Amino acid sequence: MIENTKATIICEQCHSHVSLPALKHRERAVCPGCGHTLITFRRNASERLLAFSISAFIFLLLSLPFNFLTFKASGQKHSIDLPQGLTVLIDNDYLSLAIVTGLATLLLPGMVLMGFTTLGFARLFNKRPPFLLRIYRATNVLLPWSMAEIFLVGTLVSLIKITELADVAIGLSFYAFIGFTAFMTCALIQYDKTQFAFWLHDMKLPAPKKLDEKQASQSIQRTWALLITATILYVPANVLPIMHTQMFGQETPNTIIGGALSLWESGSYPVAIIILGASVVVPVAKIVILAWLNYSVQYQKSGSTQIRIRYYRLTEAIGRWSMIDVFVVAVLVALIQMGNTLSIYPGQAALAFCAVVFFTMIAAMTFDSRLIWQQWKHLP
Amino acid sequence: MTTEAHVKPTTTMSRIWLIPLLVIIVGGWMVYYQWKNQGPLITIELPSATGIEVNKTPIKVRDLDIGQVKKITLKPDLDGVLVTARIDANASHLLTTNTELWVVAPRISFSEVSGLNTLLSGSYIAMSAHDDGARKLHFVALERPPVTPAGTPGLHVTLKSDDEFAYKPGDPIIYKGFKVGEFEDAVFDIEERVIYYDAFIEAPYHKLITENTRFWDVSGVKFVLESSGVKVETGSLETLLANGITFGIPEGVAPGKQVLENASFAIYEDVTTASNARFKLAAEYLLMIDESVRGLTVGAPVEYRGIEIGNVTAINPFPAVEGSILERDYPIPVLIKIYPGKTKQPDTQEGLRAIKQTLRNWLENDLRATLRMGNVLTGGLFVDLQHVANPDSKNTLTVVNGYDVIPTVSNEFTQITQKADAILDKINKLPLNDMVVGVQSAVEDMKLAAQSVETASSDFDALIADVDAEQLNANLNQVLSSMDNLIKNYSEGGLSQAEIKETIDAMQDTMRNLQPLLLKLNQTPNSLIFGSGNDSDIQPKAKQRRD
Repeated sequence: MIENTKATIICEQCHSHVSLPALKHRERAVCPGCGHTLITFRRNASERLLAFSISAFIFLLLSLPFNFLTFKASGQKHSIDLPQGLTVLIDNDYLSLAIVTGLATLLLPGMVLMGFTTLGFARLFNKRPPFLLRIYRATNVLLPWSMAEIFLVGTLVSLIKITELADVAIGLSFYAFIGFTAFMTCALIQYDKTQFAFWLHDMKLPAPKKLDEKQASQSIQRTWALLITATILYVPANVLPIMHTQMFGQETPNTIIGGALSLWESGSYPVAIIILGASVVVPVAKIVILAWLNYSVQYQKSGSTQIRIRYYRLTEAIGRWSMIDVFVVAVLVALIQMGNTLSIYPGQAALAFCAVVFFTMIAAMTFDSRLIWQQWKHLP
Repeated sequence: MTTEAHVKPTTTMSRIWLIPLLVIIVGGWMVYYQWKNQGPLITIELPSATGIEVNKTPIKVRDLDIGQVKKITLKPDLDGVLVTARIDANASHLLTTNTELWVVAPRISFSEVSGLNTLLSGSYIAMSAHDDGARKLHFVALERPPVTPAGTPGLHVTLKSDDEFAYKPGDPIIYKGFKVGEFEDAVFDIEERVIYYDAFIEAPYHKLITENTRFWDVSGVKFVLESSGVKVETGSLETLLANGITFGIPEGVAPGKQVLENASFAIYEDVTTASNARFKLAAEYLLMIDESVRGLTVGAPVEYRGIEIGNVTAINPFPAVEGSILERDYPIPVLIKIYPGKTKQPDTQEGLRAIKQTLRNWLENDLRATLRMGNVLTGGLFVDLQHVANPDSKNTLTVVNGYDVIPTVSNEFTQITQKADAILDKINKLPLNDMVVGVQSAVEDMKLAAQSVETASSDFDALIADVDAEQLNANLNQVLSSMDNLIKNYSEGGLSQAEIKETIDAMQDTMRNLQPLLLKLNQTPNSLIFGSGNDSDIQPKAKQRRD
């Protein structure tokens, strides 16, 4: 659609005005100022988006009713499907963890897929009902919180952890979930929000959020507040146990770092590195980078803009992956419930860590990258 | 000639729609697969849901998971729970009318400990493996695991007992200390007041069960005080704690044919009753006891010349004789059995007739029954049949209630007369004549002895008189006076120190030598006269026996 039309766009990351050239299939337009991908073009993108979204949605539905994982140890068998796993979490008085897991892995991806399907349909038939714009905005807001692929990786990590204890059998729903995640990723590749923005607004993009001194100050303050909250929460997240392993009536609390270290000692280095990276390196790096960026913006440091924007993009991209550890705990708790023989219960750190991830994610969102280029005190 | 082709729009469907199509097919297959592999739902009635958990408790056949509990509800009539379970499709053919289900939980009893593995894994519902019979989806669980799974090689027998002992399902059947079977079920027949047991003998021990096999109780420890003494009987350690039975074939009996399934046997009280029971035929007689029957027990032997030929089967059986113990001259009826088999007669009707005939002849003559003390320690009595030397009267055979009556000889009388007889016999046998002669000679001897004592005492008097005490005193005085002189000399200094010492030493020696004499004199003053010889007194001598 863009290919034959000349259009101008304001880069959302560096606030520079860029005119878009015609793009061919599988080409993307990059902002010359900051290197941000402004728009991509794929042929038949909306048709493919629709097809992939429907496929992903079918698999999402299929991942619910059947057996997800079966856990066998000392003559006992315990199998769960996904809703049942959430019920186990609720039964263990961790409603909050159940809500987070349910939302991030099933409900929000489902809503995103429904949004994709609606948008795809509408665009395929070139119909723009009035509610479409709202669906478009909602989908964009929910997009970073849909964490199905992170849950899948978390499940794989917990499988590696469990196989040391017992046999694990994979059920039909698990395959369906893999299919769902795969097609969801495909759909995400096909989805370009700028394309849809152009189509929805008849090629005239609305002016981006105004950038004035007051807004900038608000952004800096909010980011600081969220970062401090995340930092404070990071202490209990590491000090308190993230889960309790009860083996033959004996309860052992496990902290995040302790768990990763014991994995390292038991020789599963890749898993230990994943856990350590996702739950220690990523949040700490994210907090440090955001603090540095926010500090540099607040004191109007100029220079090294390219480095700073690159770091910013990095934090935005990897921030979500810290949730792996929370999902690992959720899967382990849901699966390993064998009374006195072997049971795993969530610890308070799981919630604290969850909060750390959320607050850093929101902090990254509130941070206005345009301020890297703009001296906010000289803004109107 | 060419015709122009028709122009039609090409299909606008993109190939990308193959993907959702494929997904739908895969999804459809998943649903179909699940549906196909989903076996039937069954309902099981249980008394309680102890240890049963939804989505956790498995249904197992020979320890292989074939299903899982999906739902637990209370029964509408509130006397149990209904468990709904999903059975795997590949095991659905096992759900038949012959299928039995029961809950496996830790079970600890005297005779067994089982299901301990469920302490950790939790209870499960076990199912027997049967694929014959009609299909069934509703089951009532057994209260306890079936003792022997159907199809186990072995033999089912029916045992009955009306005694004071009972067995629980699971109690052992022991053979020579080895557990070979178990009780499976017990049914009390209210009408007959008999307990019927279903028992199972495992293969290959079921071959031991033949027509002539007898079962008897070996529960706990049994102390038997009977006329023959004290007996202690125990089975194995297992039966010491729980109940149990054992079996065997009485001595001298052919095993007979091997029995068929569900043969019936009685359980006897002990090995003796069990082996007595081998004699099928018995002649019954009645004894009318006028005295106390204390010490007489059912089962006490009936002996003829010391050989056991029968036993007491009832004491004071109610319907045997009219009247009651309150009447003054009511004889206590005692029913005894005499087994032809024990008298080396064939255990047949002919043998029975022979023994009846013989006894009738004897009874008309001199056969009498007596209660005798079999064991002094226990006071147990037995019935002794004997031929009396002088029967009081020629007996006319009496028949009471169809039983021949064996006349009795009083127990006390016979015993006392016997004892008196024995004492008199001994008195008779005493050599009284010899004794009189012996006594006479003894008296004479005693006379002689008295005389010699007399002479001895007069001699003694004379001797005493001879002793001159005065002279002895004078001698002593002399010694003392010379001593006096000596001391005087000494005090006058007439003697040297050495001389004095010598003198004193000499004196000491003298004194020392004198001491025993003085001592002796002191003790036995007459020893000066009689000497100190140890001659014993003169004894009267018995008269030499005349040969």
